[in-house]
Amino acid sequence: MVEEFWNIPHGVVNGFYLLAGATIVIFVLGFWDKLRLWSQGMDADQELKGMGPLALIWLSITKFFSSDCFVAKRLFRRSTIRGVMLVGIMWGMLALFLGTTGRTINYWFVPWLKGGIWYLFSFILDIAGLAVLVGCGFGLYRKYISKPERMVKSTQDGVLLGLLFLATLTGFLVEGARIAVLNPPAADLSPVGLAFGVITRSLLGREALLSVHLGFWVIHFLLAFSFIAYVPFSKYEHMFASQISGFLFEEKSKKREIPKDWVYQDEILRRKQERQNSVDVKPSA
Amino acid sequence: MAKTPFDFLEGLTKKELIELDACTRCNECLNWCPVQDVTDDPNISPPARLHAYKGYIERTHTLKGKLFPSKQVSDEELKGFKDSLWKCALCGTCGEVCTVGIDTKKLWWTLRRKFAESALGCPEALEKGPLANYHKYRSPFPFPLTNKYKIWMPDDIELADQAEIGFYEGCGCTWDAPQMAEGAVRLFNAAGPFTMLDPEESWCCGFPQAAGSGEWSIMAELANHMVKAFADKGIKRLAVSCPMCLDIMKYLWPYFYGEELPFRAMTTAELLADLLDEGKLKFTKRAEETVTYHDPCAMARPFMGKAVLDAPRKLLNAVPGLKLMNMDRHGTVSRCCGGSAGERVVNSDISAKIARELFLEAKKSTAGTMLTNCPVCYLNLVTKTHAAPNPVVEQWRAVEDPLRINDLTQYLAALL
Amino acid sequence: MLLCKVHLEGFTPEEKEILDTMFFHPYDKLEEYDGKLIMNYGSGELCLGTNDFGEDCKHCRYVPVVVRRILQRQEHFEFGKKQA
Repeated sequence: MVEEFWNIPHGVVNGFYLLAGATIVIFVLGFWDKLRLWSQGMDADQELKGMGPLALIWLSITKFFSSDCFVAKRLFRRSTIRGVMLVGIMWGMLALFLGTTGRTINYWFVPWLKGGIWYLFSFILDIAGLAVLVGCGFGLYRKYISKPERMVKSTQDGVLLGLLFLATLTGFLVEGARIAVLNPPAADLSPVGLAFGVITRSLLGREALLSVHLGFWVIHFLLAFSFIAYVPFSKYEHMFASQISGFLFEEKSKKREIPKDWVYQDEILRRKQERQNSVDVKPSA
Repeated sequence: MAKTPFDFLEGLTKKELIELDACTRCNECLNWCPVQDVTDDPNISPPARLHAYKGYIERTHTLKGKLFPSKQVSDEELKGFKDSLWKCALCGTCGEVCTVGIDTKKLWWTLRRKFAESALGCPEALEKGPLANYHKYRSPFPFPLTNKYKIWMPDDIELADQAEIGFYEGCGCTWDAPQMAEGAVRLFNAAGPFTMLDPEESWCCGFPQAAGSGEWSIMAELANHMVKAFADKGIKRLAVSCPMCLDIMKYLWPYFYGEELPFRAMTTAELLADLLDEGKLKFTKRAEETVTYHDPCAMARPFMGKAVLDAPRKLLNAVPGLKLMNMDRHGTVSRCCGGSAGERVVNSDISAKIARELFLEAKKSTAGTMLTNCPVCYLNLVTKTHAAPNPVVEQWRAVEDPLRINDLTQYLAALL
Repeated sequence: MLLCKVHLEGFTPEEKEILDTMFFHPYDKLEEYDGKLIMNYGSGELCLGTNDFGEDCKHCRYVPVVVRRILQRQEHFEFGKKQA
């Protein structure tokens, strides 16, 4: 059965909530500021006409689940392996996000993670974590070991991938240490967590495992919060922007309305008015 | 128009602001960018440009920039950015292969416009060349329009006063690739009555100024004049020999005209393919050879609407005996010739090197002739004429052609 | 296309005027001597009167119509640099 904050002292739990709140505030402020900036743009494209921050975030969410974005169609056209890795990270992160939300609901509001549902939940999140870990690992391998022939060098990219990779890895280490100590029945349905558990149990005794668990638990949430707070200020904003750019690019090849309400409006309208006036004064045939 | 200080946000659309944040720096575009092929400098690549401009906006217009002020965007930074922006030939391949669909070609246009409107201006060579010429002659070339048709119009062609079918040759075809204009009028003449504007009325389309120099302030006057001129001739279907003219006609003309154009504009190849379907055009001579076709960037990756890939191939397939084969990179990811959007004028060395890359690609095919359908491709690949003397261009000009290169319409006109 | 250095003669003042509006890039400027002109068009190997499509100067698809018109009236053909 689900065990929240096992082996975590109250003081640490309080710190966790405090930092979680701060992270959410930073994320929301940063992201809202970005949405505000987007909505300040001109309304030349009909698809985005009159959209404020809320409409833009709604578009971003709906287009995330569009067939183009959700299966990374444009990336698959270029590379199957990179497509698989992106989808792994994307679906994995989505599952982990929904899972965390589900556990929060379970803990604070309605306990619903019971019996078979909990086993299935546990299994899905385990696989989701593995997908993120492997996806990030591949990203780091591509960036630092195989190295594409042409690449824009950026420290930020490495930091972001590293943060995500380590956050996921420490997540598994925490889970492994917990499984190693408790040996819970659901462990069979967390194959990756179990594997980590078997390894840690073979290396460490109970007391050491408890310390390791607490230590990595703190590191895990610090890394995860750093990552979340960093998102709106880094290139990872693409998780909200690229589904919109992809959608608009696909629209381009279809029949599109001509841009409106853009630059040089006054002159365009004046000339159009002059043109219409000159037609009006023409004597009828 | 009055030049203003640089405001990074002003004039950008919602879509463009979102696109700046959409880049994942996956580096895919670097593998396809023709400028990267010859410079190998990631600092002037699309992701670097997007990242830099996004940074300028963040420093000047966001909460982060206000809470943690960093140093102002320096003139040096902007100068570097401007150089990078004009090292691009606006071929649009980066947008086509972009894994998140950033419409880079339009974005580079917008950013060039912002420079041209600001006190920083466009590169001097373009300011003094195509732009100054336009203000004097309504053409990017330093000559009056009066005699332009006399360069290439054959004696036996008769233009109708009014006709449903119109042909616009564009300045590039007249002065840089008159062979294309000649080929097109021979083909249209064979298919029935067609008309053209009087030479003095046939102004520039605005591409060299708007795309090359970034100067959009001329577009409202230009679009109004040209649309009226075509409509006065009774034209309903307009063939445009230069794909870049057509690109701007579809993208900026309706906007600056304030409504949809009262005629359908299309490439010469598209209208000829329609005439072929209507049974008005037929190729009687045989051509016993294998040709390959280079898709010009403005036809393969247009601003709006579908890529024009089938029409030229349909025409070639209608020639008895002719075999058509494709190069490795063709269609929407065809290579750049390196000539467009001021590249030849501002960075002739990069331009010549890019053209050589396309040559090497074509050389790999077993075709005897490579055809293309754009005056800039013609200039950069056939006559290899460049605006500025340069050792790289000299070297490029000394290279012997690995195969014959010609314009599609001129090639087809010889087979009527 | 091959490098065309055909010598032009017998052109009218109007044709000369048109030619002057055409070949203005540094690489295709016409060379004038003794009232004649030398073309400087294309690149690579010098063309000696038959282009890579096998056409002679009078029918050469690469030269603009205005030049072809002059060549079609012309009887003597010279190629290459002018004599010192």
